[in-house]
Amino acid sequence: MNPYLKRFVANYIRPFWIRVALVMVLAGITGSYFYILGFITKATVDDVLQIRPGSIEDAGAGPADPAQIRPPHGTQGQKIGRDPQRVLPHSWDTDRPQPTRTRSEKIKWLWVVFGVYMVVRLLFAGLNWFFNYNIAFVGNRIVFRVRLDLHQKVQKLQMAFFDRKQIGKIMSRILDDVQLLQSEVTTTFVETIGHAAKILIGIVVLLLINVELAAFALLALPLYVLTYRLFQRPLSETFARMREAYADTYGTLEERVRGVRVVYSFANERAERRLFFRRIASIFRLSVRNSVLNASLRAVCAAISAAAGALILYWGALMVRDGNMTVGELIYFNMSLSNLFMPLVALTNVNVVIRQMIVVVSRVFEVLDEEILIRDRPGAINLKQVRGRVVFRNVWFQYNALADAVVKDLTFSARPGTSVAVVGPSGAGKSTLLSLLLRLYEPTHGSILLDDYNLRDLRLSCIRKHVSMVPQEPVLFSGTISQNIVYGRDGATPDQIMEAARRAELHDFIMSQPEKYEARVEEGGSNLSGGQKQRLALTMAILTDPAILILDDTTSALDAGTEARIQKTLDQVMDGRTTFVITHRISTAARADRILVLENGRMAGWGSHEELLSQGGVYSRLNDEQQSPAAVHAGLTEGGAGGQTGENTIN
Amino acid sequence: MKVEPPSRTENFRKLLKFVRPYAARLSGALGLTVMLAVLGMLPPLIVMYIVDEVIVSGRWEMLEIMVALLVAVPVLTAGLRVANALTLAYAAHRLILNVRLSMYSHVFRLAMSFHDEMGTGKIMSRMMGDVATVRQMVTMQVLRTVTDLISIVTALVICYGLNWKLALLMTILMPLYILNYRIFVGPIRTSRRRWRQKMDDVSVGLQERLSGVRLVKAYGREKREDRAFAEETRAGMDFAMQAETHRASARSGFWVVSGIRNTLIFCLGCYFVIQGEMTYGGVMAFLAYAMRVFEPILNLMNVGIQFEDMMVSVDRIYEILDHPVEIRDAPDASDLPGVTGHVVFENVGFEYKAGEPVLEDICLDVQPGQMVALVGHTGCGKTTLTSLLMRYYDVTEGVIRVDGHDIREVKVRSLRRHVGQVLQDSVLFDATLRENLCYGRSDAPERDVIDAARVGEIHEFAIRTRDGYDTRVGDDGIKLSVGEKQRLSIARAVLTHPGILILDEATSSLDSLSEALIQKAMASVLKGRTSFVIAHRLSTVLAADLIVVMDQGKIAERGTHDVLMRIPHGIYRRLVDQQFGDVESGIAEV
Repeated sequence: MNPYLKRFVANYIRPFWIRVALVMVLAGITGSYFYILGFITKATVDDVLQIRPGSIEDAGAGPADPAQIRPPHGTQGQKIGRDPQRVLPHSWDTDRPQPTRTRSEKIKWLWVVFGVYMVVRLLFAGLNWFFNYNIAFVGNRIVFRVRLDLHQKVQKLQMAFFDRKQIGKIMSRILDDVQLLQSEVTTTFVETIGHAAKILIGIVVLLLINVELAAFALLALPLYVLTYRLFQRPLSETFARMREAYADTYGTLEERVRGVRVVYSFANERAERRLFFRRIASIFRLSVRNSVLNASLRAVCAAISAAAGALILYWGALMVRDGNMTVGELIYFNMSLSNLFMPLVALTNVNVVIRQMIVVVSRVFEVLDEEILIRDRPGAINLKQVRGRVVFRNVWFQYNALADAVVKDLTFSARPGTSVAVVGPSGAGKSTLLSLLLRLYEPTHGSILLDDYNLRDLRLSCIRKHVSMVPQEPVLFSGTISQNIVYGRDGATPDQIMEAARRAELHDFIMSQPEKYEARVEEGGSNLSGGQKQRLALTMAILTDPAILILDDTTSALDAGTEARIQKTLDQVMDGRTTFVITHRISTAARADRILVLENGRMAGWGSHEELLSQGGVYSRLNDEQQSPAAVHAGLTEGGAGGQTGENTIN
Repeated sequence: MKVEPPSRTENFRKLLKFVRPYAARLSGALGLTVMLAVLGMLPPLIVMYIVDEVIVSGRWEMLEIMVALLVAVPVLTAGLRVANALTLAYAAHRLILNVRLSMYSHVFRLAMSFHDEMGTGKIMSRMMGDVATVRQMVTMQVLRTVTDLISIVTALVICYGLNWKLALLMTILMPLYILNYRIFVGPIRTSRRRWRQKMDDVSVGLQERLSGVRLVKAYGREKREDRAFAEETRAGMDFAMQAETHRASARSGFWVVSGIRNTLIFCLGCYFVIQGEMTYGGVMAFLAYAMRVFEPILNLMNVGIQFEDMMVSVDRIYEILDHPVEIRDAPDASDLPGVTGHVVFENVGFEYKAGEPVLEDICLDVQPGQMVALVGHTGCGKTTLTSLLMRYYDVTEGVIRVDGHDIREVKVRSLRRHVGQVLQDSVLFDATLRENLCYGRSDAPERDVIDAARVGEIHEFAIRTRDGYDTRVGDDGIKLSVGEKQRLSIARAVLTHPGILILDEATSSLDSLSEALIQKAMASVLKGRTSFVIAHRLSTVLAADLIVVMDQGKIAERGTHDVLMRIPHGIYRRLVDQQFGDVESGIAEV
């Protein structure tokens, strides 16, 4: 068995083994249903109606027993001294000649048939309910668990995973692939067992009725296997490629719809249409292929079973003529044979579905098997209190083995409660550096200490509780403003929320909304301005009251007025916390206790504002730059005249 | 902006527009399915003949011929089925390809307000999931319904031919099926609809959580997000189970009814055999045809439920397709010729919602090649003003003219091609650096690409990466720093040689050094181009020919830096004071 399938059965089907077993038993019982009906039919034909094969001389003689027509109510008086139970066992015997029953006898026995037939039919309807219910139950539960596991896994995975994968692709796995698991796969999987039962019982029944004829019938089986093998490979290949094409389409679609502004601003709709067309055209080709292959397989199998049935009827009829079989037995045999072939048709299909299931299941396990690189080590420590000492010791970092290092050999330490400004050209590794402090990524070499504990020895939940980051591009979720604010701290009181909002200069804006704190935030905060989003993110961070605060260029989207007001709050908020501030403004950097100047991932300066100024270098150039805006002005109007080569060497 | 929801049948009729091109193929498929249905009617008659005439009456010489017929029918059927699949699959999948393509094109013609309202997740689930549902229905089920109806009628006629008494009994029992259907159809429909709504929510939530995964991690919310996901999914599952339970009951109800029917037919048939009214072969055939009457009824019952599903999907599809294209080319729209860049705002007013003006009475005359700096407090309408120039929205009042043309009278495409924009959030695609750079101009020669990259100060970065310009950028360009992303998007805009350039806070998150470098490069780019720059950094603003100070949707002050600084208590002056006051206090600490 495919290893993925084995794991799937062990992890997801086994927990439901009682129900699965029940379904199997029900499948077995319902599988024998048609054979029971067939048996009743046979008994009726041979022993009640007593239909006999005619000889060639009988041809054209019309219906049997025309002379016996009598009114039906004439039956009461006639007693038949036969044990009714003898009828059924007797029918297995091959000794043919039986006494011809009178009409009233036949009608009496017909009542017995009526009762048995009705009971069997109604019983089956009830069993059928349990069967369907349990299949649906198991299927739904499995889908639920798989989705949960996928979600849990995806949440646990490190940021690096998300850098590699398109969100649309991950979604198509969690939602569509898994749905397929239920709608087509699990149902069919469970039904397979029913089919298998039908086939096994069918073979036994055929052999019991007539060994010779059964042997003929079973000769058709290899044809089935052959047909199936012929179709198997192209079908599973097409299916896998189709899922792939769907994932690609989802990826493109998600990206483009989300980035609609870019598409619009370049008026690139036509090119986008072409790209999307290519994506869905490949879905189209593969879907057609898949449909045709499936239909062909089913058509061929159906033709084989029907043709085989016809030939069996031929042999059987000859046997009846020669007296080696009763008419009822022939009818029973043919009914059973079609019951045998029907599940066989389904079974060839099931094999295809199992192939498809392997594809889906392996896509699920591909995600579930993704290595969690950043996780709590056994016995990880949970610090109740963090003073806020941060030490970087020879830290190196690269996003992946192929890329250049983004952070190179960085060593510094920040005392509790102090502030560190991180400055440097864009791409110098400022944001990356602080993502390391949150352990969103793991340093490639070196170590980061928090209160003298290596980050790797601390629980992730502990790090992220004590370290808060206000990102440069705030992420907001659809919901109300207050739902967004309490994101980092469930159970905050309205007073605390309002206090945090006040400190982030957001309270007045919120109160100006008709629904106040219950005002809706659209997906991605699209109904808020950049500044409002940043202040909302700041509010969230303030509310969590962390020991270490990271402000990633938090004030960049604010206008100068708001920034000046917020700056005061920031000063208050930063008081008593270790704070890292990524900034481009020297005025902000100058306020910090220590300034870390980064350039190309290396430290290009470390010290206070004055120290760095006296050293010259990158920092003092940045300072000069911002002190005299006129220089920029001149540079612009002169159209980049040669005098600024100094800056060029920096980047 | 609200659209009156059109009636269901109307939506369905509109959907037929997509079906029409494949009408020939679909009717071919229909012809084949009818033939298949008729062929399917033959075997029971042949078997009846074999049992009654050959076996019981002893006409053994007919056996071979009958068996040959019995083999020929399924072989012929198989051939027809393959032909049918070929015809049908092509038409069906081609049909949904067209629907998806139309939706995609339409989505990218709609105003930004549509995207703001609907959101990415919902658009996606409509384009993928709902369209698939409709395909199932329109193609497979419609054809099946037709053959089902044919099958029911033909089989019923044959049944009356075999024995009218039995057939009458069977007809009398038919209302029981309809009753069974009526009892269950409502509950099944309701719980299925709830299930779909729930799964829609799940999809939207998941999309948000995944794109905001950084926040989830930063606040250590993984477990709670798991729980939220579990709750939503569980609610979905409960509705699904509800539907399944009802469905199981409906099926069992069907089995009860058909059990009673079959028992009555079989036993009564046998009674007629005893009475000599019928042959046993006739009873067998009757049972077979009864199945051909009632199995299609079961199908039709399911089709009814699926039809409901489909109508929901059709409505959701048309929610997109019927969304009016507010921004569209006027019938006589012409291409905007080469732009000199003369931009005029004449008494422009704009409101997203009626009665809540965002911009009022904006008058602005920008000469070709001028650089306009837009400044003002957050939310004063700067971004909206530039969105109007890009025609993301149409003005509610007044006119915007580019080179004397009302922008509503030129083709949107040509307008946007001539107006370049660098956005606040730099959106990059999952593709190589080059593909991202060439996004607005896919046929740009290598030299132009490198020139533009130099201008955006991204060339050095690009050639330092492993594969140079062929290095892939991750989902949404997450592997690049924000500064790199912005420089890339500046280069991307520069490459299209726009006559008018809009820079929306693009330089705000660059450090001042790279910003200075970019500005230096931009200076040459801006030369000869009209540009609108939204920047909070006054150093950028100093370079502008015209500074427009906005306040609460109106132009409060305008002029050059020197002029504006002379206005006592002016808004601009206060802004500048705050900005440079900061710097000075920073220096004072030294």
